[in-house]
Amino acid sequence: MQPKYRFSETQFTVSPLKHSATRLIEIASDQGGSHQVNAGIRWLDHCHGELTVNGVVRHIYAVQDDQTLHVHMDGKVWQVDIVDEFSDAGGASDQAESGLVKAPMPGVVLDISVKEGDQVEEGQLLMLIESMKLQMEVKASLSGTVLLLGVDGVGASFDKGAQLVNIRPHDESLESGRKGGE
Amino acid sequence: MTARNSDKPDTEPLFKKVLIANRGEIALRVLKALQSLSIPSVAIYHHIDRKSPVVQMADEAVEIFGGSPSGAHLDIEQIITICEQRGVDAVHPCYGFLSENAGFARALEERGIQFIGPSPEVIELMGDKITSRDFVARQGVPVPPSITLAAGDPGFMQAVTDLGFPLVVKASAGGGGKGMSIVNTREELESTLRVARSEAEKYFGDDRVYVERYFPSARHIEVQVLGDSQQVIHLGERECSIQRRFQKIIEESPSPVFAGAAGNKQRESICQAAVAIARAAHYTSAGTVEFLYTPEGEYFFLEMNTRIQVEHPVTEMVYGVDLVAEQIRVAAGHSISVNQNNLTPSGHAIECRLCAEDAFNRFMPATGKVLHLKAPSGEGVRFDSGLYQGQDITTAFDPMLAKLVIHASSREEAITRMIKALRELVLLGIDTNNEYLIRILEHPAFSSGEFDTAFVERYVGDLVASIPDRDQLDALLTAALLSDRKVQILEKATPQPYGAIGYWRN
Amino acid sequence: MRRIESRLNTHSEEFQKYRAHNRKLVSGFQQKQEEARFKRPQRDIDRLQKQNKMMPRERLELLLDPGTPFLEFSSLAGSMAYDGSAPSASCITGIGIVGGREVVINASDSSVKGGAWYPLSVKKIIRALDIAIENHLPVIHMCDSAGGFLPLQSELFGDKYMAGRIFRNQTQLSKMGCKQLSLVFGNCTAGGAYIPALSDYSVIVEGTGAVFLGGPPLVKAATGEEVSVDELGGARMHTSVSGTCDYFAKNEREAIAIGREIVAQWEQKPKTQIQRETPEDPWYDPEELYGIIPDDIRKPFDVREVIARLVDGSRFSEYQPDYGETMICGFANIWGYKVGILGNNGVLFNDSSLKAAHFMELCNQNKTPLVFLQNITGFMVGKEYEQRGITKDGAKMIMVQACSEVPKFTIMTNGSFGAGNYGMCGRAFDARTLFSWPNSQISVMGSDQAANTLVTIKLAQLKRQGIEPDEKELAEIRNEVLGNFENQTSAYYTSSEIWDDGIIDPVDTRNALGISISASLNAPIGDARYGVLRL
Repeated sequence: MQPKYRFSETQFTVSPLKHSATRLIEIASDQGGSHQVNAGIRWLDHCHGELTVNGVVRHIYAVQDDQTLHVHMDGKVWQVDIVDEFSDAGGASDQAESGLVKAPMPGVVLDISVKEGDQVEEGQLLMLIESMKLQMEVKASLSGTVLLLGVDGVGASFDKGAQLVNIRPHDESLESGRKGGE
Repeated sequence: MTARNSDKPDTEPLFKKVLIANRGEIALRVLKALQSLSIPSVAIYHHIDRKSPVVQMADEAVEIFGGSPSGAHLDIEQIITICEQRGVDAVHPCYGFLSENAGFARALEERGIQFIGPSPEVIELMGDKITSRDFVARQGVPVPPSITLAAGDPGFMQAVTDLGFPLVVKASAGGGGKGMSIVNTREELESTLRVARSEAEKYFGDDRVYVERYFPSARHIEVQVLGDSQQVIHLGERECSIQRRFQKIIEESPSPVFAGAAGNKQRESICQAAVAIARAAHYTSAGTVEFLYTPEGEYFFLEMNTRIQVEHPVTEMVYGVDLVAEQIRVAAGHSISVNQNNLTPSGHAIECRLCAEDAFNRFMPATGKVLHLKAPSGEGVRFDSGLYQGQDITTAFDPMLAKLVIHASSREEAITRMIKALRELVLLGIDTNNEYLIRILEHPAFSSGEFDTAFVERYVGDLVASIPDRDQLDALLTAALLSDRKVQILEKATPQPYGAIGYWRN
Repeated sequence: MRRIESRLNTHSEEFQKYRAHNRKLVSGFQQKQEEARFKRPQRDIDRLQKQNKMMPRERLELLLDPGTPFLEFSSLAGSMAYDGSAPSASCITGIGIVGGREVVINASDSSVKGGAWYPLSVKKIIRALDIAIENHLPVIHMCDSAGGFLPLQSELFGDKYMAGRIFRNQTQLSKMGCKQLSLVFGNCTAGGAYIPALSDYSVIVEGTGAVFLGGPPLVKAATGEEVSVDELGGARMHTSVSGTCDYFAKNEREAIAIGREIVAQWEQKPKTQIQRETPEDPWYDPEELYGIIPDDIRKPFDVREVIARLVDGSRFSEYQPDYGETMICGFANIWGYKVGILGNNGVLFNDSSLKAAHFMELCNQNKTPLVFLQNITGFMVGKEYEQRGITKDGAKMIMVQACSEVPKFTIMTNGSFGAGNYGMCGRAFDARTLFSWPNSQISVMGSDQAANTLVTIKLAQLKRQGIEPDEKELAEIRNEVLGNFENQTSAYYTSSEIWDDGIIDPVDTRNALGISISASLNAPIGDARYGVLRL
């Protein structure tokens, strides 16, 4: 296996090549190209270390939370996700997602204006959600039929990215996938 | 207002026991003031806050219960019962929750417990945006044009047209930047009113809203006032124009807009207006009068907050005054320990509010956990936070995590030191607006001091996350590899000489 | 330990000539290896894709730990057999690191005739398991095989060291406490079914994994029963009804993840401790090896120059440097491990044979592994030497070498002819691993000698048939005999027949030895004991 990470929409393979006094690491991105760096780390405590990459020394703080690595480096915080090589690559096709409305933030459901089977228009209000005292209207991204509601009901809480509503687009031929003008 | 003896000697403890009716950073800050005055403290906490610093450090801590954590903090009866059980003789409500709840102040009063804040009457007066506007107008202080008709009323739409766009819809019982929405066109009006009503009902228990003229390029200047039974003084202004969603994220004192002799005159005028309002209301304790300040140099009264504010540290650092301690003294019947003549501001202070949000993505609230916290330190650095290692950051409370306040001899130096402190601050496990704040501080419009409340929107194109260069990306990915627990476990388990030979195929 | 002082002139014409020659040999080898590993008919690649199967080397790379080496064995097995239709003998074997554990890998290459077992496939698998047994290593099997290659069944079934030996080896490994994991990616039919069945742990993939003693066609022919592959021996059935397999995996990636997790909780027994220091790269550049080996097998070279480019810091403590000078013995470190090295600088005489025997006794006494750098044309012949007892002395050397309790490792660096092969730990003498350089040659006697003898025999044969070839025919006959001979003595033939554990680039020797030595320390080293030495 090769360690793979995702940062800012790009996937990288970070392969340790050699580990003696220093480390030789190869970094390749899914956009093509790879190069090698010389690196070393001296851990000052469980999350604070002195990282040297190609001779440049930086202080870093790094903490892992399940599949996410939080790193403080160069005065800001970065988030790198660990890619699991062993899980199924690829997810739902883009077309299947077109009617999917995902939660833009974690929160709770305040009000639901539609039910399964309803016909909705693009821009129609579907539900009202709230997070940290910020209310937001959730609207339909396209016209279609409400396939299912991803939340149990008013008061239900959800995470960021959770599927709130799935709408089956009126345009049945998903292959062409476009409404109106090409 | 209860009459109090203002001649109590200073040697007796001010109160027997004070209950802090709040949580998070402000509860901890108030605790520090109590400790500095040697007053025993009681903290109340919902179960999810049981590990927070204020609970650990207060002399006593009592768990409160409720349908939700916020709900528990709003349960007046429960809190008063605890006060009586514990022999509490004063309550500090901090900000938010019950701090501007006249009913709470009254209920305490009826039970002989001192409410550390102004009288219930003043709270009620200033709590209602409509009555407070009218009151202030009567004092001769300018107020913004508005419509007080209800949306259903016949003359409403005409009044809206007369007022002109843009407008802001405000909750009558609202405040603190909450319950406000801007309307740019007639088409948006209906849906905005709907959401505003819903929010108002939910947060303030009162769905009344009113419509005001919105000044997109005004500044938000507020004045800190402090009153006791004898006098009202002001401790200068705070500049609070850097806001997102009507909530302040950066505040400073003094305001860069009041520069030079002319500026000083303006400052004096606005501060005196604030004092006049407070005096007219017979204001005691700490309070803040908020104004809109136009480019033309005009100011309009917005609202008065009858409590200690989030951004009070900025004033404290410039004037060297402990405002919370003053509140406690006043509540105990003493006079304020400073007077207008011997108040000398020095230097410049800036506060940044660290919030749990994805600031570069429409400020979407973020949740997470405090995996690692290392606060910045040094001279002129003040970090007010109730954060603790392992704390779950959920949607249960406000997204503000902490306040970083910097004091320096000049504004320029304060900005530099603030950027440095923000970069030094390590908070891992949750998305924050740290880098966003730095972008603002680095922006020429901020350092020039020439900005208004539209700053965040106007420069949205400039306030973007930095993109790592190749070397940074290499360092980041290397750091990821070397901190990845699974990979490091494998590496340690790899017997020699396999590790030294490394990746090799014959 | 002092550093070897190289007397090589790397700028000389000779060095450049040899270097070009060997570089060419190596790149030729690498090309053949690349083809054997990856060149497949498109239809086979398509077939695997349609079956939702990963390519076998993809599976391997996913299984192995990051940043670790993999020492592959016999990549060119079968390369000169079966008309080249079974590259790498349709399987991949080697030593690698999984979950931090040293393991032997035995993986079917289903991109070659569906992973079918040719006779050499069986031999290669047996060899991999023998390595596991000798070195007390656990094994991971990646099963995906169509079963025995029927047309050649007589060469892979009946005898002692044929198919049955695979399963016998599995039982012995288990008895020794060496764990085995099977990842069933495809068919395990008939005998092949015993691989997961005899493994301690097994994971089977839904849809493609199948284990049965007889497949549906055989079942139908035998009893008339009609049953699908999945019903008969699929993942669901074996993990929930029969209990033949332990873990159900939805796909190959999940199977590998489960396998890695299983291995990660295997106990890591303490290894045999031998002298070890911090490793150090050779002081001289290993690339210089290309310029040391001559382009003609008869030309000599100083084996110390080779040693200098193999060992840590190029430091070598030579034993009896002034005695028996055709045998170079000494101590050095390879990847930190202290080893005793034997190398040839000419034929073996009485003194060099005795020196070698004594040196090996020292190593056995000291629990120091032995490394043999073979370049030997044989023992000295002649009346004087026989009278001095060269045969006895050779026998002593062989006795000590063969009875050695310490692990032995052999590199065929150049020639390996006649009895010299025996003394220097040839294949029959249980080196834990044995690798050949691309330039190496092996035969019962030196090439000139052998060629001449063979021609003589051929001519005698023809004469008996009444044929007298003329000059031209004579030359043709000579060429043909020589050609055949060269073919059969080449490293490629050796490797194809699995008389070695693979051809390696000389520059890779260090790593191959380091890994082999480390792997060997999973087994205990017994106390020195020998048979009777004819003194």
